[in-house]
Amino acid sequence: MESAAMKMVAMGLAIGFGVIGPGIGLGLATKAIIESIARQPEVEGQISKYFYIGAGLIEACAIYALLVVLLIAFVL
Amino acid sequence: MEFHIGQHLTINIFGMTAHLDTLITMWITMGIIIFFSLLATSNTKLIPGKLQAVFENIVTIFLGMTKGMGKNAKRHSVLLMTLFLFIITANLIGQLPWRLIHLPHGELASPTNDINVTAALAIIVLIYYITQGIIAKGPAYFKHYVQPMFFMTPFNILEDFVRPLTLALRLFANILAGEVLILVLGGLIMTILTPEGVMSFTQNFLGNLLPSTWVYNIGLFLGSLFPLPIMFFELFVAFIQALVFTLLTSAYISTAVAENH
Repeated sequence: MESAAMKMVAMGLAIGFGVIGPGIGLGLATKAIIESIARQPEVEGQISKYFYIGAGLIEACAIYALLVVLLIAFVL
Repeated sequence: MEFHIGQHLTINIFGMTAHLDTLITMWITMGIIIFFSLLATSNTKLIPGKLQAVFENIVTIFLGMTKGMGKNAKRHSVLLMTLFLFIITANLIGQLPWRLIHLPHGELASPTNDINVTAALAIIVLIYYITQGIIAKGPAYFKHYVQPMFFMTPFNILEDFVRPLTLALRLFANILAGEVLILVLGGLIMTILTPEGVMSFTQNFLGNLLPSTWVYNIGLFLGSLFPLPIMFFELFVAFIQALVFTLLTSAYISTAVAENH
């Protein structure tokens, strides 16, 4: 196959497989925070701070996959 | 349509190339922060005015964050404050309409969409926490490389490389991906809105009710609303990424300075 077609396949596979993990991770984190707020509503302010920090770190892993796609498309 | 991701307007300073568009927006960011800081601290009153109260609040938050960090806690809080204010202003400044200013090559956007800026911040953090660890614990700082077990040494050395790498890449990729997403969504309407398509739409669907130039312009306006949700999300991402960078820095400094009890 010529390289332009291989690039398309590579970009699709990279982002496709890359966001499976962060998607599951964010789902688990949201599950944990909703359960803990449902159990104890008064700690919402303290716990949600940690949720946003964790979500930022997990989201970064998905963005690494997007970065690889951009690298394949525009640099390599 | 072709994009040019990662193309910057370069100039030659003293024989080395620099990205002029990143430099311009970075200096504008610094100017904003320095201007507001000077304005807030110029006539400090005992009962603070509004701007002074905001800055006192920021200082209090960061002093509270660095409370458990030993003797030099106030010095650490200065670095954390600087990082947070610079990164959040730099991330947010990319959302202003900079496309009005036309550059021959590249665009004006957030300075943090350039890997050089984020890598410089990450290297500053790396050098800072290593030197603070050496200052706080003396040469015994290097004992933490063999700390839990002898064979963990390669992993601990690897951590010194991976930490600044992930700090730089996380911030850079988040901001760049947001900007690329806005570009792609904004340009999406142009693939649908061809002149022939607009002509056939006005004739067949609208029965020549409106002139086709009106249809074209209304279509352009509606198409420019596509990136709007993403731009709102980018404001949120700007704050979160600044917070994550600052919190990770404070965690690294804490582990480097911490006393083993």
